[in-house]
Amino acid sequence: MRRKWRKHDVSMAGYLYIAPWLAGFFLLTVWPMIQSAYFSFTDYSLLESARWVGLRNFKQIFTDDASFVHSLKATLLFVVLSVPLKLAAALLIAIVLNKKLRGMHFYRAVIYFPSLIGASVAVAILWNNVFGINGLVNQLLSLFHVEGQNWIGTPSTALGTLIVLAVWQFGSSMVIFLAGLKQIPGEFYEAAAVDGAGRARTFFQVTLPLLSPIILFNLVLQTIGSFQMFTQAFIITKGGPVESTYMYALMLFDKAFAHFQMGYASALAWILLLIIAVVTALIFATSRAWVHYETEGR
Amino acid sequence: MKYLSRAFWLLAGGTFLFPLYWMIAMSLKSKSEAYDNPFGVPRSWDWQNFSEALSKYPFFSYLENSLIYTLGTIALTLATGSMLAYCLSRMKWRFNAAALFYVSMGLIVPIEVVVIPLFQLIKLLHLKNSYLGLILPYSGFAMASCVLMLYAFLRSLPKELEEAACMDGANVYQTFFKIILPIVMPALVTQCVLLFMRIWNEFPLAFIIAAKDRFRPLTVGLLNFFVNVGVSDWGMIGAAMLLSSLPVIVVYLAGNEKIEQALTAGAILK
Repeated sequence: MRRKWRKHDVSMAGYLYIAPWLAGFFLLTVWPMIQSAYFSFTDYSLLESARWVGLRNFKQIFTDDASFVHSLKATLLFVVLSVPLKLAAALLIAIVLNKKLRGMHFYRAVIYFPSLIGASVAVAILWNNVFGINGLVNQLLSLFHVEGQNWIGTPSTALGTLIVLAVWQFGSSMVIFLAGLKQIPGEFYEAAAVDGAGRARTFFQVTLPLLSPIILFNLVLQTIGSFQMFTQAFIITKGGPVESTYMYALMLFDKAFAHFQMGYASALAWILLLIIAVVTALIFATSRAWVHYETEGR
Repeated sequence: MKYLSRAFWLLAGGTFLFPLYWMIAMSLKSKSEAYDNPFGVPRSWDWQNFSEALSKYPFFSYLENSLIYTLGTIALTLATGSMLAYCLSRMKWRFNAAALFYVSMGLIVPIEVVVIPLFQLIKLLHLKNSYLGLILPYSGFAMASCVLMLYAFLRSLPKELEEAACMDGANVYQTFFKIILPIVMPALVTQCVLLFMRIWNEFPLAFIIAAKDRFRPLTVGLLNFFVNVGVSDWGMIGAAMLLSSLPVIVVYLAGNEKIEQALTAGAILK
């Protein structure tokens, strides 16, 4: 009786198992990335073949493209405002839901609901109706004799409606927080109670540090996702008014598939990748200062 | 105080369920009622919207496309992903660490970076306006999270599993398909649910690649229908929206524990 397969058989199987992924990954990710890097230095459009133009695209983006400035500003504002608000809401609700209550399963399903269909086209259409001039928000305001406005059509509030929509979909972050909270051993809270720590102190000195790895995970995930926000801006505001909600992905899409400036759009895409990489690296770099990993073995 | 917090929760719960209520209410209102009573409870129940929507909105064709894209992506991703995860976790390979790093890179690379060459490639391979034209890129992008989760799951299994299988005379392939795969079935089911939610709601890539109406999934189809009908017939749009959202709701209700497990598994992995 053999306890091990022949080495040759195993490596053969290994290569067979890896082959589909290797082919797919190369074809669908590595090769397109190389090509997109190349396109970013050309004036490639769908109609004409690519011509090398050196750094011209990048130069134009940084010195002579008002849309780039607007969309970078809108995207950064969106990320900086929606991600912390979303995580705070998720954490708050997770702490409340962490108690043993009757019908908890139902509450969780309800709270997850916006995350379920929030990204859908249907909700984007709904949003237009809620924040429009005759929308629900204004109807509610008129009950209190406050005159509303067209929230989506006003440059100063349009981005806000998209942020509210993003924060509203905090369900998946909340589920992750909830799982993290469940892993905190009860004895920590007992010890805190014995020491006479109040609710606020217990939260800041027990819950937050022990949850910090999960916070980091959610922060990175949501930040990367928010930089790529597309569907809602595309359907609800179309980037307007006056480019106040011209999200980066939307601008890229316009350049590539409406103006067919594929080379220019590729340069934009690589700038986005670099921004995401830098921001992610920054988050990880600062995480050493605030993420608390438990070192002793349990 | 107690009543105040209860009122707050009721209000919050109301905003979460509002879209569902709105779609249902809208779908039951007549054209004129939808106009002067857009958010209230329907005064009379008008089921006509559904039959009208079904006759003007090719719901079943879009539904079929969405199902093909979603199920095709799930099948392809799980088949190739489970094999790769098995290799990376249970076979000694010189490039294990490098391969794992490349796979995890897929989590960070935004689809925007590759969308233009991808579009070109799909056209070059004559896959534009075909089911594979979306299934292939979807699988490529879904691979990272799928492999990483299965990797963590497989790594926790005891090494003796393969030794016992070998002693019983099973070869490498039989062991994988008949012994390992059934053991990781719960993880595979979790991935199924997660992939379903993700692909079903995907919009940008479908919008670019599935240009012909015959190949449109529900997301693109619904937007197109909305743009065509305009805001003149909210009742019909409500019915179309409700029909389009139902599959996700059903899958979620059937698999919500699986989703929570999957989301959690991802967090613990990091």
